[in-house]
Amino acid sequence: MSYFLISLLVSHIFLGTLGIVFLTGYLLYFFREDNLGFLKRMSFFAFLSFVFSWIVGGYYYVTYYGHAVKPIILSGEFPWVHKVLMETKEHIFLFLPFLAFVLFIATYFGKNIKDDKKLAYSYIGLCFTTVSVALLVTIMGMAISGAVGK
Amino acid sequence: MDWSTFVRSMHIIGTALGVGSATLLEVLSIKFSKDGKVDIFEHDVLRICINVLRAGLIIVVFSGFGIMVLGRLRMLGPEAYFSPRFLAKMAVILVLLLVAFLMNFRLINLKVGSAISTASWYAALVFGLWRTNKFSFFVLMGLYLGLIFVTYYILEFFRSRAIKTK
Amino acid sequence: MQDKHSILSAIIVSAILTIAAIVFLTVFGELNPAFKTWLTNTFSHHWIGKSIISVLVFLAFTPIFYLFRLKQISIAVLVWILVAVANLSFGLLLAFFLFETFFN
Repeated sequence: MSYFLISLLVSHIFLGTLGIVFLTGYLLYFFREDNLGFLKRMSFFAFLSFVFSWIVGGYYYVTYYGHAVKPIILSGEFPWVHKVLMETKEHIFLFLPFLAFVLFIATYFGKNIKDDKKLAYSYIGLCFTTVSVALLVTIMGMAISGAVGK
Repeated sequence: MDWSTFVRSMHIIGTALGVGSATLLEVLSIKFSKDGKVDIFEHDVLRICINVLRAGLIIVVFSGFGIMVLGRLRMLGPEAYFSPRFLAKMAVILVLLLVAFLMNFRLINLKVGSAISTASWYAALVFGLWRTNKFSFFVLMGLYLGLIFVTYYILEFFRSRAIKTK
Repeated sequence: MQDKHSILSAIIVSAILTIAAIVFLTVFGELNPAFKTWLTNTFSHHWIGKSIISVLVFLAFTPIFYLFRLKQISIAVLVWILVAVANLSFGLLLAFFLFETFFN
């Protein structure tokens, strides 16, 4: 793999994980006082992280994974890792930028989230879902990398 | 310094911070609760420990991915990444993340949560180092569960001793 | 404030439809090879096609639903619907690929 492709793979993982860290920060600090600015920043950076992870990961996937990595996994001990996990992952990942965008816009417009408990819990639910999906995508990615043997 | 040395160093630093701050959190919690209350200074000290623990966790996660990428480039494959030891370590980290979340939202008893958290850090450390072990995933999970119980009862022992010597 | 409610509602509903569209494109693409081939020929790769179409769906539906002025449904309810759709879609796609791999 060229240094460029290695950089893309590392960036994809780094940015995706960063998105999870930002959203976890959002969840952990949600009920603190006077933190709307912090929540806006966390949700915005999470959205950006997922978008850029989408772009760099997509480039790596389209230009390299299909012809260089997929055949190795399919011919190895665990072909289902591609057929189930990679196929699921590459489509589930598409949810993340939209979920993160909704969270960001909702937070940005949400002046009264502290006054409205129902609204607050819906934002927490959305953030938790986004983190869970991202975490599962990450675990799938680890399994896929782990299935690439000699 | 090559990338392998760098990411492994960061992983060890993250683990040290996590294990160290988890241990210190327990010791200081027991010490501070001796008088039945936690004042502002004690609360600040515990908060610093928690922040160091979180920093350790973030470093461990990112550097762990770095080690995994390097392993992927060397095509270590399922022998390394689907091994019982690696899967057990990942399971422990997931439990750690889940318990940290539950504790933050007070969805779990804090004594139980802190015991699981502390035991998880030590288990991840040992599983990471113990390269010669040939146990199955389920045996390793059994050992981990045992460690959680042992940690809980050790902490309970010191808590009750702290109250008695008040 | 009411305008913000309309914008937010439109964005949430568009996100719901976008996720549904992603699931549809994925399942339909697997069951209909001609469609997958069309995506590949049009966009150079089927996954790029799904990415672009999902963005277009989102961008197209947002102004449409904004014009509908969705005031009746509360934001909290819409967000929970989005959460439900995201979780169900995840389960659906995973179940679909599991079925395709092990039972087909």
